[in-house]
Amino acid sequence: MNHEIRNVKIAGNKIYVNEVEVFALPHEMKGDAFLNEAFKNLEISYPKFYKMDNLCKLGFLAAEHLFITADKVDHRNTIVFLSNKNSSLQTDRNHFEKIRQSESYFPSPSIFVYTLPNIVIGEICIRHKIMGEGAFFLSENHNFEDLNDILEYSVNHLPCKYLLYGDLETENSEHTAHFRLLELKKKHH
Amino acid sequence: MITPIAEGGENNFKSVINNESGLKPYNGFGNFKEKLFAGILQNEYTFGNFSKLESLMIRCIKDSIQKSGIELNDPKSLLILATTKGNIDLLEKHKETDPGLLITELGKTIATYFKCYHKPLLISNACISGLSALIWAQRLVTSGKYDNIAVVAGDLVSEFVLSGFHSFNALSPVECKPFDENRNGINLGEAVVSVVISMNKIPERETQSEILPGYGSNDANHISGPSRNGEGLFRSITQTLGSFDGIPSFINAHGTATLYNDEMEAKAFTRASLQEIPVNSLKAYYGHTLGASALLEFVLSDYALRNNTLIGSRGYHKSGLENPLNIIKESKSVEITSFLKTSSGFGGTNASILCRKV
Amino acid sequence: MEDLIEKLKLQIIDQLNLAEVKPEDIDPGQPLFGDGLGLDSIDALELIVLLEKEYGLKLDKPSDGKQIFHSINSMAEFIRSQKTS
Repeated sequence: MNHEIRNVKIAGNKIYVNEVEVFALPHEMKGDAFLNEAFKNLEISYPKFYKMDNLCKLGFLAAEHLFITADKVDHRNTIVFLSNKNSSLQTDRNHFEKIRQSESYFPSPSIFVYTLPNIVIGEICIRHKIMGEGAFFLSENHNFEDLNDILEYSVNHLPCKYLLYGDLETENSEHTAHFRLLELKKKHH
Repeated sequence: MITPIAEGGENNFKSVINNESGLKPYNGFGNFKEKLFAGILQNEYTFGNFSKLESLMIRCIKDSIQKSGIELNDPKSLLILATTKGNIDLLEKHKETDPGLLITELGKTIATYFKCYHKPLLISNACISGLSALIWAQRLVTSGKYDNIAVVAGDLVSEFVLSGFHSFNALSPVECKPFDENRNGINLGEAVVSVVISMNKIPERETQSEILPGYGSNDANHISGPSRNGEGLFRSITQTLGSFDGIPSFINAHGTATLYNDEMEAKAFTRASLQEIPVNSLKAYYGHTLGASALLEFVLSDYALRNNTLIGSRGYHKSGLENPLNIIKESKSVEITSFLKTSSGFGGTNASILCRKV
Repeated sequence: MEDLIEKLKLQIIDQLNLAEVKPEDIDPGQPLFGDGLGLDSIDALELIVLLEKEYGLKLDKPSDGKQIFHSINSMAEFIRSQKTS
């Protein structure tokens, strides 16, 4: 049997771990503030967090709560599959603002690098030393339903012990994420 | 496939072994005012209300499914679409609120056109997108989930991407030189490629190819800089070659012609004891076509396999690598039984896949 | 020169999103990369953009960056030398 070790949900300025609320801010608090406050609440030193775009900050936070665990687990072979609907559109627009006018044409490398949705997987892998396979998928509904083929195959066939999968979106200052960490017990082929 | 060199796999293969390149010098591109070398399509193939990328993808898929005789409205068929930036050119074409900017909308448009039975699987995984799509097609066909999978991968040259790579100091103003001592960056290119992956043999083909399982691995090192020791690529190759009892006849590398990428690949190949195996990069023919690159290069490598031809690594003259590789200088005929395709990208993502004659 | 150094500190903190760093924490002689402020390769590219955008200065060769971006002091010296020359 495959065992869900933990799941993390972020919605409406609240963070839930295994359905238990672990962090909340007033819902009126908009934009980056929630992400930054939730980060400060973790009390970890990781200055790179402030360089990330909102999608990466959100993914970082969800993964951080997913991996806060008493046992030391080797996550090198963990597989990470994430999805969303809007890709990196918010950051795409930010990059485009920098090149819209030829008289103020200053593309920023630290913005451009986040115009790929899979960068969030890279940030999570760097933080947690994960070296397994990673892929980013696009899907309209935010519950990984469209990606059932991927899950089914991964669970049954991929040579890995842990699977992190989930969906994350930052749209109009609303941040929602749902990450799950599975331990895979495979039948030997 | 549609590339600046030609339309169709066969035509592209023939041109490439004749050492023709689709890269040309340009004085700029829209608001992007720097001199550049790039592979830009001379014909947009635009039709109906479809965007440039949509039109190209539809044209390619149509050709692939016609040739293989499959239907996408069949419950046992699936479409996988891979792209890094999709219709991002709509931003600079003053269509900033066009829903087509979303890859999910792009997927819907293509799926509606072909009356696909299933929602398409959409992948955006930086420069390895096309390879990720191929890896998943192999998995979902061999597991019996689908009988036929059409894979399409495409990306365009845009101000958006040019300006970004320029800010990374990554663009070469001259034709790129993968693995060469004078390499100084990438050229961008645009291309759309599609293939059908199937359990069934292609009756009219004398030689069939079989795609073996491929795997990915993350460097867990840096979001834009290649790993110095090639860790992720090394792990990916080791896993992909793990269940293979032969030695690949050649490796088609990513070979972007940046200082660090090519060095990283050389290190990974050497660590995997593959340094003697003939290697090529096709970037000096097409430039870096982003999400399309790995699929484009895989398909051409498959032609090379079936035609017993090693494709010369255009742009290479003298080794500029700390770990020297056996770079293929000119196209030549040799007996080929299999090849390894590798790709790496931003986000520390790496993947590889094997293909052999059966 | 003092004014320029203080201005550079603020610009660097802002441009590189060094949220936890205050201007008084930065010693203008300390290396910006490696052990110093712990900047990385993307930050280096961002500093090139900063010079161009705020001071209208372009590097002749990207490899010059290593020397110019050694510290706040070396950046200030480079800006001053370009303005007076």
